[in-house]
Amino acid sequence: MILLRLCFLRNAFGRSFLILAAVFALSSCAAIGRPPLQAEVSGLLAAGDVGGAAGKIVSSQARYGSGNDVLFQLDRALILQMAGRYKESILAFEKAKQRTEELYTRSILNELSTWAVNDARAPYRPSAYERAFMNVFQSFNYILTEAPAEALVEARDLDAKFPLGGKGDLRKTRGFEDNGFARFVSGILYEAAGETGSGDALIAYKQALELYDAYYAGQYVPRVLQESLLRLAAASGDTDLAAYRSRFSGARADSASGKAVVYLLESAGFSPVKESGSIPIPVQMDLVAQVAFPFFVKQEYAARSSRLVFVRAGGVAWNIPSELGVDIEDLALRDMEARKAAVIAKALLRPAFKYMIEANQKDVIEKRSGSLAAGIFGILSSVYNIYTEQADVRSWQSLPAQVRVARALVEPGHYRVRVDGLDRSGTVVSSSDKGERDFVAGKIYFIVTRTLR
Amino acid sequence: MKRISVVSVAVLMLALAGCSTQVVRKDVGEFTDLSGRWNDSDARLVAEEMVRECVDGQWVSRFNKEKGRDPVVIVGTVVNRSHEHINADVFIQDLEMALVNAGKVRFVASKTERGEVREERLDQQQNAAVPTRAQMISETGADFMLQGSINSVKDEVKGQYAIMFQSNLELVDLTTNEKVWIGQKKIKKLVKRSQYSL
Repeated sequence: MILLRLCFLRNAFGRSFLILAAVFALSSCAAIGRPPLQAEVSGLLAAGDVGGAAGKIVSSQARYGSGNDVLFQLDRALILQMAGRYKESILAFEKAKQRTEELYTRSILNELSTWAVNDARAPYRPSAYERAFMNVFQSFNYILTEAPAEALVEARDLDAKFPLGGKGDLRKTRGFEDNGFARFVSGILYEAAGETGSGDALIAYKQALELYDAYYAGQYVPRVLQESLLRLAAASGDTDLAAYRSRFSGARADSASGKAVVYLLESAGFSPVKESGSIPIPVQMDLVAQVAFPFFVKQEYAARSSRLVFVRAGGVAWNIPSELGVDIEDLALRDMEARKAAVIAKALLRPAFKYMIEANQKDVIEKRSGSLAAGIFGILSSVYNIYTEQADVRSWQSLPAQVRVARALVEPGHYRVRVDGLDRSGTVVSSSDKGERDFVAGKIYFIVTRTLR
Repeated sequence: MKRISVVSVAVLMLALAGCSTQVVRKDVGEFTDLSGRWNDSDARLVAEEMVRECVDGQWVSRFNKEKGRDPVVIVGTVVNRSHEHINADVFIQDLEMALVNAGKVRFVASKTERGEVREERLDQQQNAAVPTRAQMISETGADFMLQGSINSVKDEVKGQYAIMFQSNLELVDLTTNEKVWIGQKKIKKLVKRSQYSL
């Protein structure tokens, strides 16, 4: 009732107060900071309680906030995958993909509200690198449910999303590179499906090489990719074979004849967390604005490397070390770096925009209602500015910091398999038992795992 | 004041209308294309058209002439080579229905369906009255197998994309491996999305 009365006030202060209260109420609807449930779930994961995190995330979407449905589905999908609930994880990834597509169309009112309040007013739109990982981790789900044909669909979808050489080419449009690892996984999937004759596997490996070269300026290509390029180029008589032989002289393209091939795809740690930095700026005696900007904070994890261990009956063991497939931590930082200019520009312009309106309104109030009313309005505006001007700190937090890869040629037979996580000094800090497995010559197997420590 | 009330009521009603769930029943024969993805209408359309082409082919009359009976067909695998997760079973069922309805070929149960039928037949040998038992080793063998794939090409430029789904079907003679019929059907869709809405 009080608000309604104020609405019809001729008094400039009353009207301004009402507008301020309305925008304040609007801003309180938007999640400021990370969704509370995401913080809780991340805490449980960091403590290694995957079951608890999965139980929590399936129970309530509301606590992620209405504009965060993609973020919710992404976290939900990855946590359910960790918990071994693959079918539910598949559904969550599909929902995330579909919603991301729908978010292509931006609401003008919503965009305007990001200028009046903050960026968290806009629905969460995944970064390009996060979109690529939707396909990568969805393909892991299909590998884990032994649906290789569906895993290949993810590889094709990735290709359709990010056509190399086309207008959507991330190397040209985003300043940071599309990740070669996603293409590398596509190549492995094509090869595992026996689609080497069509050239799909070799093409994917070549694209992966191109992207790794763009990202690491030619300084890093995973050894497994080098070997795959040599192997497939030799098998198909590809014209690039000589160049690969000279560049990857240290790599061996051992024949898999009579052996089983075992791939390790190990996700480790957690991607960095976005935090909000802010600087209050006094613009008048009684009017304070604030500039807020997001920045990433890396998350500590112990297992900095790993190895895939095979133990035969009688205890004879051998292992193969994994290598870096993708450094998601670095990718996230580079992505933010690429967008920094736009984020900072908006972070500066928005307070200026708010200040212009507030200063103008303050003058009107002062003229009509006196300096006391103007002073009160100034204080309320300052509180509003400091409360609402928060950086958008939302990100796909359950993503790992790294994905590591290994390829082992294994003598056919019965093995107990485990993945050991090693710290910087090479001490084993985690060990994940992958059970007993029978490996048959000529077949390709996958060990997909997540190391949380 | 009066004007404000009328506007307020109208806005409120619009808002409420936007929140309500609406269910509209559609005829299954009606084409619905919401997202540009492969859907039930595509599966049915492709199955009907391709089977029509298939059974109108020369191979049927040639077979009739040679064997003096209708050919027996089994539907094999339809491989999804597209960039979308397509439920191939829906397409296979549409193919089977179109084949049966065409009335020019006979049609036998697929590999997975046969398992259950065989189990029942075996069970009948022990439990059903003799005159009612289905006979063992009396299955009708297929003369031809229908196999195929669904492929897709997507071309995307800001705000709009074209998707082409290409379905390939082949009818293979089970005795000779000869491909007696090859069919192809393409569906092209253009999806436009506006960058901004109110």
